[in-house]
Amino acid sequence: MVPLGGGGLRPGHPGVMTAIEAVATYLPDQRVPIEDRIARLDLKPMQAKLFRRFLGLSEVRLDPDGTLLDLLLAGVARLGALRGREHQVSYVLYARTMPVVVPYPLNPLHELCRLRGLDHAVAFTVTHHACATGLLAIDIAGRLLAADGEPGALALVLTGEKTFTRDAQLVPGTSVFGEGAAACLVRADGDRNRLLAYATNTQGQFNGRLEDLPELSASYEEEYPDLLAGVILAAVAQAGLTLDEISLILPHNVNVVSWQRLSRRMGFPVGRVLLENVPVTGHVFSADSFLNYATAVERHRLRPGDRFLIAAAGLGATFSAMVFEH
Amino acid sequence: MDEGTGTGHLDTALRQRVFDSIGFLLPKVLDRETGPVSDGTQLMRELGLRSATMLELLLELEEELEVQIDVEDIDQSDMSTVGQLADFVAGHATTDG
Repeated sequence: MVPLGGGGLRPGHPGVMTAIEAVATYLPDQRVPIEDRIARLDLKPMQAKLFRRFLGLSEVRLDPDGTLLDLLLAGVARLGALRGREHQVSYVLYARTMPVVVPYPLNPLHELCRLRGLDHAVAFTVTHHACATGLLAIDIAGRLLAADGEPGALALVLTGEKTFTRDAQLVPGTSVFGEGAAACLVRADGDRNRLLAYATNTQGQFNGRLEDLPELSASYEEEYPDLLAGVILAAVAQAGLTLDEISLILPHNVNVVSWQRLSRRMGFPVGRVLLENVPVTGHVFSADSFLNYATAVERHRLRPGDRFLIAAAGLGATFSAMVFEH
Repeated sequence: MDEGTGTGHLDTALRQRVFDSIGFLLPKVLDRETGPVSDGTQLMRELGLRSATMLELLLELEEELEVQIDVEDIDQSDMSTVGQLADFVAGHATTDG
């Protein structure tokens, strides 16, 4: 069984019309080849070949001198739709893959709110769905706004993290993390990118550092395709659609090959999974969905009325999928 | 020149070379002795290969046999046993250059 997102008001509920009004993204200028990342982590050069050749990861973007606050601010600065409407923002949610990113008492989220005229908003971090946390934040934002019922109210969802430790740089044999940020405006009454369904499934038995736990790692690998396909199909069904009615899947950028395999398994054309960013950005934590959305819009891969799906898997492990109407 | 087929016909000489190389390369990839393997030896369940070590094995096979392996179509069922992997590689290998 696939539990659906949270209790109370949910997508599809008469009171909830969560919609994404605008998305802005930022990628640092510095392009770092995968070989440099592998060498820095003292891994065998064979690993770099493996990432480039088989996993489809070639480079990542980094801002070695920038702070986490700089990264998040760069995302918000590009969100033109926010300008002049800061007072309408009721909530600022920072959706994070990593549970800890700065030492106490630093709080770049509150600092950002102060700097951007958002300190009246309720600001908090959403975490523990790892790389699927962005989807959770959209769901929470929509439900909070719906519960308030304030016309025109907005929620700002932020994503983006620094590659500051080994575990925030690489998942061995699987993925390489890159830096980037996204800022996303959510509302409860809009019709742009209307959320039709959200399915999420947390399997807590996979909690642990897989690198240190070979048996757990093996069972995670074995169950991963069915669990991810499970939430994708559940979200599609919840939206009252079939998979072939989905125009585009916006994946998490873990690697190319796992999505190729999953697409085949589901009978979904891999050409309709937006994988173009994987080689050039790597896995940008919880920001992948938004980066891929921006690319889809830029490259005219979404037309009005198209139904698209965002999917992500987070270590720990949470599998999530959302269906939207563009 | 195409050494692999992808058309159903399998180069038996290449398949034998792939099989021999798998047996030879497994200890290197796994960093431990594995003993003799047969077509039926289970790569994941028996020998403990993971998807990352599987890909490493494919890279080692490419170097050893001087071929390129097209992995786009590889599926879990192609990686269960040594024999299945040998079939897949022999069917999806093209010579370098």
